[in-house]
Amino acid sequence: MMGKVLIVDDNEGERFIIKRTLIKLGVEVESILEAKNGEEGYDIIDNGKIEVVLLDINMPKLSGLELLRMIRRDKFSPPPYIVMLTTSQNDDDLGSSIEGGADGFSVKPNAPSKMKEILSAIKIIFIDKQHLTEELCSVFQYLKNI
Amino acid sequence: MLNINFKISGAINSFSLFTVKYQSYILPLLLVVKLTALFIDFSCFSTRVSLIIFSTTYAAFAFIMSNKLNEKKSKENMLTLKQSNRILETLMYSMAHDLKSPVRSAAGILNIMNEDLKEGELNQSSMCYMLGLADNSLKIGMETIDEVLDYAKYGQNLQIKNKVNVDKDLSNMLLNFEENCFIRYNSIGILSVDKNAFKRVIYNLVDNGLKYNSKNKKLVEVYRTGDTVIVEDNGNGIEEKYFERIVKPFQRLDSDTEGTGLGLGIVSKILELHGFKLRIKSELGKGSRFEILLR
Repeated sequence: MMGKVLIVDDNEGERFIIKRTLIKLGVEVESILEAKNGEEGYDIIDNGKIEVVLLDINMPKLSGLELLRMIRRDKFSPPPYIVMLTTSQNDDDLGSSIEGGADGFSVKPNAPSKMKEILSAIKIIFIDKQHLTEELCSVFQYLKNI
Repeated sequence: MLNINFKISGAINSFSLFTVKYQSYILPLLLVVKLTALFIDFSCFSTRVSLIIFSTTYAAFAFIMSNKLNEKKSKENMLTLKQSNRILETLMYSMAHDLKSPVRSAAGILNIMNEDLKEGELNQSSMCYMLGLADNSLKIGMETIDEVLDYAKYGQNLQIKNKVNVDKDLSNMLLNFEENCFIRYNSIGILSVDKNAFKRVIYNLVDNGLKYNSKNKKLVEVYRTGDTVIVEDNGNGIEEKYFERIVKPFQRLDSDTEGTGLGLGIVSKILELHGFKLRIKSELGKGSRFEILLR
């Protein structure tokens, strides 16, 4: 079973790149949703059935970190996996993401091939839920080491 | 004897003041002299010895105080420097992100086009779409660079001139805005400003008033009441909780409208350099009022 993936990024080009890469990984087009700002993203999550959120940290008005905290505060059931995406490595962002309850953190890759490596790790989570806990730990470890 | 000592000591201490460069020590000096006189009976000393005692006491006092003040000033300077560095680091980080993001996005899209071309999956329709996306991203990048250069420019070589009549320049500038809007300009008259920088302030405020405005009939008014220049619009309005944030560089509240987030940052910087203050009043759905307090 393939869960729904939500891409939240104010940059249309970035959303396109991530979406294309998800499709190449085998995610169905219908399972990929997009939001161009934090408020739109929250509304989509509120409507339910989002399994993974790929969330840009730097967005106008409602930032990625603020949205992350809102999602965790409102305790959606089941809680979506959230991977924070940023343009450049920043220890403060990493720390805030972990504190906010993110499941992963990644510097946006320059090449789609790099994105594939990261999203391939996440793909394991929502395809095979039996090994959920182990894979989640290994993904988080993998992302931390990037 | 003591009177003569005071007169001569006064002369020496004036010299000391000149060398130490602390003219504000005249009062403490008198205090030191009086206190010294309380505890030492100078009548038994010769003039020369009295002078030596007074001068030595004063010099010691001035030396200690100047060291303490230097230390305090040094700490304050260090604090100001640290704060400036922190602000600069945050600005540099935001700038790097806002420049890198569109450029990286364009590069990624072109990579995808390249891969699709190699795999024989690139058709005209998808190519046009992707080229459009890449073009938009690069335009945003170029705009950001231009705005950053502007932001940097308004920190150097600001030429503030007294009694500058800004009416002609401003009214001409406002004629260049889009046609389907209504801009009402009333005389602002004479100001002490850098004319070009002040023009930029009014331009950015008017531009924002039109850009973030979904009304059919967009309206912006520019006028002066006493020591306040006002730019008022019937735009979308701003929530009060964002008032402080929007004047900082690279802060946008709207992902749907084009903008680098530097417009109000530039306004804020120019006004600060002129010694003016900016006050914002706004109501969501009704409009905003930017008040430039000239005093």
